[in-house]
Amino acid sequence: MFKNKDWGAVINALPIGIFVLDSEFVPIFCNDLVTHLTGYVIEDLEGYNIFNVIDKEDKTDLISIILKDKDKSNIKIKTKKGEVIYCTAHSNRFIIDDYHYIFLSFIDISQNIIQRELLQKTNSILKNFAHMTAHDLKGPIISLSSLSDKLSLELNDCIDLMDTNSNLEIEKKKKNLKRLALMIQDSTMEMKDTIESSLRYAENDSLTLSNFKLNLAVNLAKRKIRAKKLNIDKITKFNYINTLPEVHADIEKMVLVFQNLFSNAFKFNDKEEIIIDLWSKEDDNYYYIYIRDNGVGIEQRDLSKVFTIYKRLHGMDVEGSGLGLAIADRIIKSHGGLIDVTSEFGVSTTFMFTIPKKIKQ
Amino acid sequence: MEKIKIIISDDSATHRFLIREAIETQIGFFKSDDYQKLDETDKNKYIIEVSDGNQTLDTISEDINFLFLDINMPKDGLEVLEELRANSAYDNLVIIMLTSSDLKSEIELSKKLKANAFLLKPYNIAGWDSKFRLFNKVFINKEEVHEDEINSNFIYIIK
Repeated sequence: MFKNKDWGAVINALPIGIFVLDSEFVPIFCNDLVTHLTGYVIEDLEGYNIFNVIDKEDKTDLISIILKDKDKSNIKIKTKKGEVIYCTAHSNRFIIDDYHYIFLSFIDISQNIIQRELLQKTNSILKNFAHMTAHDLKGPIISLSSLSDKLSLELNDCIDLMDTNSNLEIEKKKKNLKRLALMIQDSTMEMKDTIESSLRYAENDSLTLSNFKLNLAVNLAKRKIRAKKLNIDKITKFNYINTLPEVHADIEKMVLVFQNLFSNAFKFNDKEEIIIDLWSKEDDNYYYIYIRDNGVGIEQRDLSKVFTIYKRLHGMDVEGSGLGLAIADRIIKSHGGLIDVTSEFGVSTTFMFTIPKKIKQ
Repeated sequence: MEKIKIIISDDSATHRFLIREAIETQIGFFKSDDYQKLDETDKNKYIIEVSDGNQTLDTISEDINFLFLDINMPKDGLEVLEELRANSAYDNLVIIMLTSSDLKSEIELSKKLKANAFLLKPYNIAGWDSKFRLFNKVFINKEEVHEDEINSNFIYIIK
C-alpha cells in the first residue's frame, strides 16, 4: 500500500516527515522529506529499529507516544551525517490484513529551538545589561546627592561666617565650595558617559554597508578623539606597517570601533610618546586588522574580561564608562567578524579584529 | 585606640572623598597619603587611598587596622576580601565592605568570606555621618551599641 503511486505522491507532498514502522519498530517506509532532512533512504534503515536513528535519551518518550500514553513529544533525530534535528513527533497504530503498523510523523522544529535559544541568550544579556546600567548609575547618583548636600551645608556655614567677617575662614570655605562644585560637575559627566555608552550599546545591530578604505575610518576616528581632547598634550604617532584594505562594512560603526580602541590606547598609556601601530593580513575569507599600542598593557588574567560590559579593569579615575570595548566587540560581531586581544603587561596591547570579505545581511 | 591606620579602597575619587570626610568628621583630622613622607608621630594615625583591588593588595600591611573596601571596581572587592581572609597575617584586620546596591548575593558572600561589616553608601551627609559615628562607636571606642542603631546604619556588623 505505501508503495502505491498515488498514496506515495500524496505522502511525499506533505510538509512533515513520515515513517511507517512494523510491529518490531523497524521502518518499512519513509517519505521524501525524511530523506531530505536526515539523508536516509529506506534501504539504509532496513533491519534496524527506529530507536537507532533517534537520540538515546528520547527513547522512553518515543515509546510513550507509540503506546499513546502521550499525544505528542519532542524528540531528536540523528541524521546520516551525525547531526541532530529537533522535532515534534506524533504517532498512530493501524492494522492492515492482520499486520500491525505504526505511523510516525514529525515536524522539524530545529529553527524554533535555535531561535528560542537565541532569544533566551539575548534576554539574559539584556537583563544583565539593564542590571549593570542601573547599578553603575547608582555610584554617580550617590556622589551627586551627597556632594550637593555637602555643598548646601558648606554654603550655610559660609553665609554664617559672612556675618562674623572672618576673612580667612571665608576664603577657606570658598575653596571648599569651588572644589565641591567641580566634583559635582565630574560626577554629572560620569553619569552622562555611562548613559551615552549604554545607548550606543543598546543601538540595534543593523548595518549600512558601503565600500571604503579602512584608513578613512582610522582618520575619522582620530579626528573625533582629538575633538574629545584626550591626552592632547602627548605626542601621538600612528604607524602604518602596511596599507589597510578596502572593506565592505558600516563606516560609521567602524569609526566607532577605532575610536574606542584608540581611546583605550590613549587612556592607558604611561609613556612620553604614544605610538600606535596598524597593520593588516588577509586570507580567503577574512581581513585581519591589528592595532598595537605601547601602553600599560593588560594582565594575563584580565584579558578574557576586557570585552564584557562594565568590567572596568582600570579605575574610574580614568575617563570612560567601561563600555567602549564591549561596543567594539558587538559591532565587529554584527559584521560577522571577531575581536581578540593579546598583551605584554607593561609593554603593549594588541587588538586584532576580522572583517569578512563578504558580509551576509 | 592608639593607632588608627586606614585604607580606603574605591575606584571613585568622589566616594573616597566622602568616606574620608565622614571619618574625619567623627574621629578627627588624618594625615595621608604618602606614608614615606609622614613623620614618626603621624605614623600612628593616617589614611591611605587606593583606587582598585590590586593596589589594595599591594598597599596592605599587617600595620593597617581598617580597610574600607568598595565591591564594584576593577579587581572587585570580594576577590580582595577572599585573598586577605586566606592569609592569617590579616586576621586582625577589620574589613568593611561598602557598596551602592544591596545585592543579596554580595551580602551573603561578604558574610561567608568574613567581612566584619557591610554598609550601603548613603545619599546625604547626615547618612554618612550617622554610619561613621556608629563605626567609631563599635570599632574604635568599642562601646556597646543598641541593635536598632546597627540595623538602621549597617546591613550587618560582626565584631
